[in-house]
Amino acid sequence: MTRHVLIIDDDPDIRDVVQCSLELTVNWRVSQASGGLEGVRLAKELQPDGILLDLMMPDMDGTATARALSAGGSCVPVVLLTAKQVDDAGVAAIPGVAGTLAKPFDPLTLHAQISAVFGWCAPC
Amino acid sequence: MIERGRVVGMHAVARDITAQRAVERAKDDFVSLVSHELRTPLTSIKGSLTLLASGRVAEMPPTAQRLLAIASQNADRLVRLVNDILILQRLGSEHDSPHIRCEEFAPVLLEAANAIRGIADAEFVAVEVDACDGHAWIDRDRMLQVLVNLLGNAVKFSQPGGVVTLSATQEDSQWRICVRDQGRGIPASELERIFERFYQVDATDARAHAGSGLGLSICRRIVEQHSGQISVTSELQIGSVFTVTLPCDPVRTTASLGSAVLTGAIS
Repeated sequence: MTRHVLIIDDDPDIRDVVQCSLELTVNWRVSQASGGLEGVRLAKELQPDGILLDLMMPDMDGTATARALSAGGSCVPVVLLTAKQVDDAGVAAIPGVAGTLAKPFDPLTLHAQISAVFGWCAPC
Repeated sequence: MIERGRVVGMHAVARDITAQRAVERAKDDFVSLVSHELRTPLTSIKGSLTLLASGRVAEMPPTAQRLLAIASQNADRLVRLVNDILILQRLGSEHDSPHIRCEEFAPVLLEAANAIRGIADAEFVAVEVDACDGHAWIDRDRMLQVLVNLLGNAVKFSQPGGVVTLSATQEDSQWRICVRDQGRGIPASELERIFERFYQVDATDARAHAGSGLGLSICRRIVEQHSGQISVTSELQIGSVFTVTLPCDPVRTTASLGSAVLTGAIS
């Protein structure tokens, strides 16, 4: 099943690698946002199936973005994609966040890792 | 102070460590920030190389594949280095506290051996586990890291066809865990230094074996957190034996840890 995910990350190279990875491996549709504010707006506008969210961003960090998404009534599940070490208890306290994936990630299995966190059926 | 059996005075020494704490915090913040700033570009580099090498973008001629493999292996090496620096920093942090629990030990040893089996198979090295029943007071994740590090080293320095043995026995109220290999051995003059940070017996090891030079420092720090000891004996061309001893008694295990989290009971 083709999925649509939104990647919110201030690093354009990371966004492109994520997009290439998901397009090349499972042909998912990927939209990009360069920061929290743009991410919240695009999430509302595009209604993706899932959101990949960076934690450390300059304008609005990942935690604040997740809270803004939740406060705006978003039901889109979020996975943190972060280079920072985070403790599980801290992640569980952020609304709407289903789990964490670490950077660097394996671009050949990223889709499977996202699917596992969101409980999606494994893509064919 | 006591005079003729009576207490006549007291000495108290107070030391303001605010500045020292501030320096430690600044150091922790700095390492954490640098690691993040290194991991982010490494994610892009590693991701791009992996996608190119997979052939999903375009079919690559053999020379291009070889060059991509070199770039990819070295990106991996940098990732490992950054990860190890972060682990050492966390282990040295004043806020760090291991979660010591009572664990059945044999499954931990088997999990460590299984974690290394893929690498060992690729090198045609056999990994054997010989563990007696019993419980140990350990932080499971950290002890796994110690065992995986030691087994990883043993496999790396083994010849194809070699055997690596992981054994654990209880003697004199302590656990004795041995990782034995049949590798090239370590010169006697180097044995003292191999637990130092960034020390490699041979400068070419870092390149040939993709190590960060921090693995044994991490092992020693974790073992010390368990009030244990790590040591090595070695014979050239015969092999090396790394031995970890841990107290079986939980009180002794946590004696050096003011902030350890101790939970569980021997069932």
